[in-house]
Amino acid sequence: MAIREVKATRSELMEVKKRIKLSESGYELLKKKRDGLILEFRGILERAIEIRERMGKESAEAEEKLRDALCYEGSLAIESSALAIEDEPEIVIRSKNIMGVVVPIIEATRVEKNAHERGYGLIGTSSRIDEVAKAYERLLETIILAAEIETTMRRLLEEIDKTKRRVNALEYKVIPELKEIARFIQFRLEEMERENIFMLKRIKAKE
Amino acid sequence: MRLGIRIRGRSKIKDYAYITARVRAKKKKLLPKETYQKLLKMGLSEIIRFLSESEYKEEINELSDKYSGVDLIERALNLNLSRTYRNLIEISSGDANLMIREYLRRWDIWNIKCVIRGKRIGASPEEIKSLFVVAGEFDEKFLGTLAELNSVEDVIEALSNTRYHRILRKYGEERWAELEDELDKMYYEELIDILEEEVSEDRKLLLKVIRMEIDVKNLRTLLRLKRDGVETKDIEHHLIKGGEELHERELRRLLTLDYEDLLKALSEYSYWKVIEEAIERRSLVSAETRLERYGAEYAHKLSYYYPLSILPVIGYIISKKHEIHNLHLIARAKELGIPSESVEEQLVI
Repeated sequence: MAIREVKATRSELMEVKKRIKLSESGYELLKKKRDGLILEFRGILERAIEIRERMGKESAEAEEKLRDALCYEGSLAIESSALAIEDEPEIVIRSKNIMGVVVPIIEATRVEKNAHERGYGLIGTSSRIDEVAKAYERLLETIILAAEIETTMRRLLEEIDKTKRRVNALEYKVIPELKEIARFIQFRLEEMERENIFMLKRIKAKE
Repeated sequence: MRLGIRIRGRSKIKDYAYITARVRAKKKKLLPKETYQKLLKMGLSEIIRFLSESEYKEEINELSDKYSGVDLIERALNLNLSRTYRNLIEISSGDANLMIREYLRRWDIWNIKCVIRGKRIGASPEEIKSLFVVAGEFDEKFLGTLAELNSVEDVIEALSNTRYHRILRKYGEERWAELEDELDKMYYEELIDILEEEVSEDRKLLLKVIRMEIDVKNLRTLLRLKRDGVETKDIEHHLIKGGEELHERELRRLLTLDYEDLLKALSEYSYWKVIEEAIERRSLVSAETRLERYGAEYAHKLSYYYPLSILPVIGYIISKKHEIHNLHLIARAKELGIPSESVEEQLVI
């Protein structure tokens, strides 16, 4: 609100003062929320780093096993074994609330299977294919966990950013401006009172 | 009657005299153990050059215009294997011919699996054809036609006049993996039936080789499934009947055990000494390679017992298969950058 547009009345002053109070309490609350979110984010960040490292390790392991199996069995045997898997894992996404931020909980069922459930022929294949399948199933489970944690992290980051912007806006713009308006109205009211007194004195002197 | 047996015996010896002499000569051309050490140290182009100066010369020269690198090696090796096996069928006669053809029918199953697997993943006819080993009942033309067909259903329709159709017609009702296992089981059951039709010392020994192969496959399946904690009822149909040491009653007993107890129970069998060290390292992959090596050695050893029988021929067929497999392995390992030490452990020599 520009100062020029402000009506210098007592009721406006009261309204502005109310808004300052509200902004100040909002500012305190948002600051607490921001600190809480940062704390929560730090905890998740540690887990995310751990999961990322695990994912990298498992991915390298799975690739190595795949290379071994490709070398021993040939690409067609590996591809057709992979295609034999008809039972796809089921992914359920639920949500939970962290300080007003809705984050997902991703759960997957039947990712890790045994050699019988996978659905490829056992007599004509070797355990190298089991090893590859197992390694990739384990990797997939970690990826699902990473998806949950990293989505949570991204949402928290967005919320922290949003809260920070609000805190900064209140601290450096809204509250100072409201205080300025209040000061202006206060000054105008005092000015008007002085003018009134002066006017009354002039009238009295004429009489 | 007595005369009949004598005449049949003589004609059988005649059947085997020529083929075993040829096989002896062929055996000498197999790569010696030391060559693998040299190959492991070579690069891909050096391996191709080496093969082009060896028994694989003809196939490498024939295909080098169209293909290069690993692709060239893989195709040349498969072509050489097909030609070697077909040559054995052509130069054999009578009982020897029947035994070789029956034994090599496993390549028909391999070819059927390749076509159907290829069709399922949308592989090109060229890709599928490169995997064929034309050594069984089906000739190159017929297999080529199968590879050109559009769908799995068309392939099965084209195979409707073969013995494999009774299993393949269940495609769609049962999982393909189960049908693959059924094809393998059918092969072994029919081979055993044929070998049991006539009683002779060499057939008995060949039967022993086949039964041991079944044991190795069953042992592999049991270890894989028990390690994963699969229920007994789900394991049973993956096993092949007719093993040597692990016959039906034994298998039923082993099926009820959990993985740790299974390992303890396996110490009663001759295979244990072969796999013990690998199992202690918890490496099923290594145990499998050792079992394959053991099977190859066993067949090789038996071939010396009856020099004028089917055994030296089967011994050669197995050795040739392993040679091709080892060369495939070395070539692919070079392409994928797998260190020589880990390849060496997996070679069947």
